[in-house]
Amino acid sequence: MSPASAATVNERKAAVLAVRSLSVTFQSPTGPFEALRNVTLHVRPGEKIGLVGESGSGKSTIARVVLGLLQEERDVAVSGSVRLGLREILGDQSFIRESRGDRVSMIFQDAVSALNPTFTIGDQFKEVLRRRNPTISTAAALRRARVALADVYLHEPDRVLGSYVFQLSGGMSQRVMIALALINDPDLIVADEPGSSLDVTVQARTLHLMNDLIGRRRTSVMFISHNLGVVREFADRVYVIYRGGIVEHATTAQLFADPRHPYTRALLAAIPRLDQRGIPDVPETIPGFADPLIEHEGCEEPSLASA
Amino acid sequence: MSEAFLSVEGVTKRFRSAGGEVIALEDVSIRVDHGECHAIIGESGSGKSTLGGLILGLFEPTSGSVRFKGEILGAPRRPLRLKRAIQLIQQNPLSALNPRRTVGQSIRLAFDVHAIGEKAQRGKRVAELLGEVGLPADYALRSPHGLSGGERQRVAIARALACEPELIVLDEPTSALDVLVQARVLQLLMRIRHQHRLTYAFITHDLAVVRGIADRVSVFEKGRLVESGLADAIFATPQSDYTRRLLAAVPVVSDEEARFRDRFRAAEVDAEEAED
Ligand SMILES: Nc1ncnc2c1ncn2[C@@H]1O[C@H](COP(=O)(O)OP(=O)(O)OP(=O)(O)O)[C@@H](O)[C@H]1O
Ligand SMILES: Nc1ncnc2c1ncn2[C@@H]1O[C@H](COP(=O)(O)OP(=O)(O)OP(=O)(O)O)[C@@H](O)[C@H]1O
Ligand SMILES: [Mg+2]
Ligand SMILES: [Mg+2]
Repeated sequence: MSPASAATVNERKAAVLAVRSLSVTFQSPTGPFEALRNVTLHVRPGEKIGLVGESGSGKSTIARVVLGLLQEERDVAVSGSVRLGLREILGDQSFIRESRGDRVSMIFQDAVSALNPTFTIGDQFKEVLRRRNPTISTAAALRRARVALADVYLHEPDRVLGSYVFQLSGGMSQRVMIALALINDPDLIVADEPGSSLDVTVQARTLHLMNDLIGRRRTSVMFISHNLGVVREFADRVYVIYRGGIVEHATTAQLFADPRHPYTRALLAAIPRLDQRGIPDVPETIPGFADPLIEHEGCEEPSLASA
Repeated sequence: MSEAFLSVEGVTKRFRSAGGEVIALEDVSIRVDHGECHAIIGESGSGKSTLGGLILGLFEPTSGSVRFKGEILGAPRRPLRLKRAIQLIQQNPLSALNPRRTVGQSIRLAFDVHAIGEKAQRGKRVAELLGEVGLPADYALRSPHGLSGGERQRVAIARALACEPELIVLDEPTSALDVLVQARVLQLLMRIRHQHRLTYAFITHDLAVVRGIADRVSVFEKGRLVESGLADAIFATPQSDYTRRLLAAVPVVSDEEARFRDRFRAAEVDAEEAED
């Protein structure tokens, strides 16, 4: 077997994303702040993992490390290992810089501020498409963009392409962001709260769209969401994160049928219910939130040695 | 009929945009009573935030009018008194809070702008407001950047309360929060609504939150109001197909809720068969 095809075989078996013992510390005027502590997680080809947990627990920080964005900031220390396929990206930015927006894409949490305010949506599609195909013509790029916008149920693609982000609603901007993230058929999508500004019918359709892509291309998804109902419908496996550390790791079925960590249980008990008036009563603090990681049967990381 | 607290009367709002005009709202009329929590839900892009903007005076209606206690609410040069009475709490409080001011300075600014209370008392009042939203008094010295999403939203609530408003437009106030923090923030919002006799126009996509807190609900689709009524009635027997479709699409986590939701799925299938 030639070395090239051996690499492909290994690449196929290996996790698309493997994060090991990731720690992140921000330097701030009030002293160092440890945003992530010893985080280990993996995503296999074609797999959808959910990342849920506390506001401020470090979910978007994980996403920004995977995209290589945090490493480019000042006043932050990152340690551990992050592999995309077989490539280690901590320490060497070249691979992730090439892959970003192409093989690896991100749906940012706050679409309105993530989109460029000074360019039209059409120009932003052109730029992203040129990352994959530098010679694509403007006409061809706009043709592809129109199809992509129709896929996320934006019914006036020409108006959207000619608009600046301030001329769109919150959910329209979020759908533009989703369309941009999917248009180059990436291998890995990091979706940070992709449906938070969408009504439930449009949200369901965009999740279908992502599912189609995953089915066709074995795309993998890291799906960050506060909406546990959506996570239950969409994800295969779930990591629960609290104050910078993973506290529970389970298949989606295990997590919802048998939540074991006190934080996970409190989280599930706080979900407002469609069939009841009132808001669940939640205590300010719950003993056991800081208990160690609970990993359910069959969820262990595939060892790198066997990959 | 008694005078409405807030009434939207035949409002149409058009925006100039790429290649023509967008009709963001078309001939919308709604009445909001004093003290109620009025949920505004519906399709993405259907004009909900536009309606919020009209109430807040960010722009003028193209036609029709918005009245607050009988007085027409215009946009340009809105009197300070009305600006103070109607406040906004939005989804992303970071963009609403000036990062160069401390939390305390942001809250205090509201007192200074609206000349609320005696100068010497304002520092103490900031601490009281922080206490009211469940934050320690020393948070006054912190920058909004170092706060979690839930803490920032509490600061935004404290700042809105500082103005002693009568009406608050809440545009997706908890959709960026985890459900535990969301439950606390919603409890807080409901408590202060009762204590301060506030009225809420509550824009959200989360129908379970609407079920939890709303007295009345208005449903929008494509710039039009498709249904408006008591929350109890809308969740029991929605009148429009669009509302049924929304209810049928809610992702849930328990079997009881799934059964509740699936009634609307069944109704959808019946409606489709009737059409065929
Ligand atoms: N550049 C930075 N400097 C200092 N602290 C930071 C920085 N970026 C993030 N943090 C802090 O790190 C923690 C984790 O933030 P992160 O945005 O990853 O949380 P999250 O889990 O995505 O929260 P949410 O659910 O609210 O989006 C927070 O306490 C945040 O204030
Ligand atoms: N300043 C503006 N210029 C041009 N068009 C605008 C402007 N503001 C809003 N629109 C358009 O008006 C329509 C309604 O937007 P609005 O933000 O009110 O929707 P929404 O119901 O709040 O949606 P979402 O649920 O996605 O936040 C959209 O088609 C939007 O593109
Ligand atoms: Mg985040
Ligand atoms: Mg909106």
